[in-house]
Amino acid sequence: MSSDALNAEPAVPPPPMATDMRESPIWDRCTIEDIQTKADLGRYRITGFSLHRTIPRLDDLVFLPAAMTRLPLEGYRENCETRTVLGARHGCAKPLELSVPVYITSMSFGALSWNAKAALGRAASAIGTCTCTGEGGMLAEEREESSLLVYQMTPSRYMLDLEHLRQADALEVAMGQGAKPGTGGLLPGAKVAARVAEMRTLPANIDQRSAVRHPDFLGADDMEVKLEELRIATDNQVPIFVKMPATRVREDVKIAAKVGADVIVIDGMEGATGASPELLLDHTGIPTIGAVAAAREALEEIGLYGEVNLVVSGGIRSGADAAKALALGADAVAIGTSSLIALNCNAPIYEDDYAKLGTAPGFCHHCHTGRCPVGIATQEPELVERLEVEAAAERVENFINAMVMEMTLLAKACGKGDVHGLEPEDLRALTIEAAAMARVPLAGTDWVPGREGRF
Amino acid sequence: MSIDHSPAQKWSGLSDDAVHLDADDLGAYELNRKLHELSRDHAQIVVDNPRARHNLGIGLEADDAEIHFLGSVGYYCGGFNAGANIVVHGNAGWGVGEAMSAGTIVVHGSTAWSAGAGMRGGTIVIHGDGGPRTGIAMKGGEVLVAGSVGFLSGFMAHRGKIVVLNGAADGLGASMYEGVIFVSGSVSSLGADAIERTVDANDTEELSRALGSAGFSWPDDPFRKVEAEGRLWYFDKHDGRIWRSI
Ligand SMILES: Cc1cc2nc3c(=O)[nH]c(=O)nc-3n(C[C@H](O)[C@H](O)[C@H](O)COP(=O)(O)O)c2cc1C
Ligand code: SF4
Repeated sequence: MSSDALNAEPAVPPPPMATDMRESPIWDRCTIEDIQTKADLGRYRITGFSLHRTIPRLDDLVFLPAAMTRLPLEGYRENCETRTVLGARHGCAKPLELSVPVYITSMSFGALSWNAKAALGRAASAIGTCTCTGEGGMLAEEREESSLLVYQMTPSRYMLDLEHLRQADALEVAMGQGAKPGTGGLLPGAKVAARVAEMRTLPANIDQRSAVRHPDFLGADDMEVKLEELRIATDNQVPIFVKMPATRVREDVKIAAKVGADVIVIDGMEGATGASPELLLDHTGIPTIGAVAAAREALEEIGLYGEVNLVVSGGIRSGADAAKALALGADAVAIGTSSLIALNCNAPIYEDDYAKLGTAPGFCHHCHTGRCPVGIATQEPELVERLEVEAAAERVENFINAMVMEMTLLAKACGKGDVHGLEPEDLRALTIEAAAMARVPLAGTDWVPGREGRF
Repeated sequence: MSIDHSPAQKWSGLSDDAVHLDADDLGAYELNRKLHELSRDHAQIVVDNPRARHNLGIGLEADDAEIHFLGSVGYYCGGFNAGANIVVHGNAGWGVGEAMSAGTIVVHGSTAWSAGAGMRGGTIVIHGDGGPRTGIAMKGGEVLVAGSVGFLSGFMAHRGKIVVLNGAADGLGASMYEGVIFVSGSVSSLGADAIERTVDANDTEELSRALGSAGFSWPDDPFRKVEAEGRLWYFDKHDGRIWRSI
């Protein structure tokens, strides 16, 4: 290139920018879309799935496997115990004996299809773990498929009577869930099909908003009497779980223990839903990572850690997440979304039907529409048929087995012969937030925010 | 209402063959187990000294004996009743007959909050007043009240019937589904989405049957029928003003 060419003024000046594309961080495209959507709807937005923001999570923790100070177990050869017993606290005749510390959480029939419920039950039975009814009453298919079924008693008490109570292998008194703390369940009319409506004693097709306060107890003193009633009604055969969203965990856990829970289930803010007001997903509750540590501390403070069992749910996606939850103090984890994804949620099939919902595989959170492309979160028979129970159950079974293998791999690397032997000492945090919430040292330091230690 | 604590023989409906159980000697679990046990050989069981204790007569069934509590009972008496006939000769605490599916519970006194909460069937007869939230979340069966009922009675009632002879406090029938309330006497206010509908000939016939079964006489004031209008059953932006605040 000649120096002339380099020095010459360009013959034609560059065109001005067609549009100014600088986006306001306050009024970004999502915010604009949100306001305009509400301007059309005239109400808060409702969605399925989980939250839309980043929060501190179990990913921000890492394990410290054995090196010089500890001895690992042979990862591929030596045994690592996974058996988990839940609910022995009050000496009920049949505490839940699970072969693994992972079970399928409460997801209602209504939110889920009958095939999804049956497949989850079949998978759990094959594994030797339990599944839970959720709010919509006890589905006959689910009872049949599930060798161990936890019956959820929500404030709406759908189908609750002696006959169904006595079919339960455990009871779960629902005091809320992480996706919508302090607010009752929601089932849009598209999913209140005839059978769902009948099980809930509702007119079909209404937008059902379930109660949040229990109809016959309000405070802790009442609840203690209530739990005794449930124990009498079941002749103390089965354990009683109390499930709650992670909010004032330290206080709430102590109260649940005091009123007589055998098992406390804490659902972190990332806990998913079939349908929730969107703002409750994003702006209420605390993350699972902080909830586990707080729950464990609460039980330790009242001397009941180990006696009252602790189950944690909300955003558990893998054996690594589950192992970290156990190390922080949980006896078991409950999974919702990951089991649905194993069923086929967000799988790249029937892509046209995702498109009709205005979404695509990998992005779908449209459980609330009742038009689930893969037959999981719908009550429309032609969609439900897309979920083949046997094949779907096998995928969930494989996934839980994989999760448990991941857990034992980590446990053995840390030198533990039982996954429940994992402890906070086996963990380090990658961020200061995670260190503070999980009460474990920041990686490479002895420092736990708020405690003595070297930075 | 004052309760007469004179000897058992004076109580209405007791037979001389009834077997007696002293609640003072038994914990809640044992008492309930004993009720089942004694039901095998006895048609009527009289429980002395209930002393307003909680959780009496839980999970009884149709083949259980008729059970009389001689005095007041605490929370959840007759909870999960699946067919037994229970008589309380006194007042009842919270949640009498909650989650019951069949049978009858007759209370010769008043009931506290949430009588018949979530019940799916059977009948509860209250000779005194029903407390707040009587018939809350009920899904079937009937609650018949000779006196009045407290606030938010019938709240979120899915199905079933509440009959009240002597008035209701605020928020009657709030946010119901297919529950129906018949009330005579003054009503402080109707609850959200509750609406008054005309009492027709079928209703009158039903009411005579219900009152007859409870041994109640027809009240002086006419009955009003309260049902859900159904405006809270659907999300509708035109109802934004209602949704905003409830
Ligand atoms: C489709 C669906 C339906 C649900 N239904 C219920 C329910 O009926 N009762 C309840 O307590 N929680 C319900 N949940 C919440 C789950 O029990 C659980 O707390 C949550 O899914 C755990 O988080 P995860 O999905 O990240 O594992 C539901 C969740 C989903 C995804
Ligand atoms: S694929 Fe189905 S289950 Fe998964 S998010 Fe979409 S609607 Fe919900």
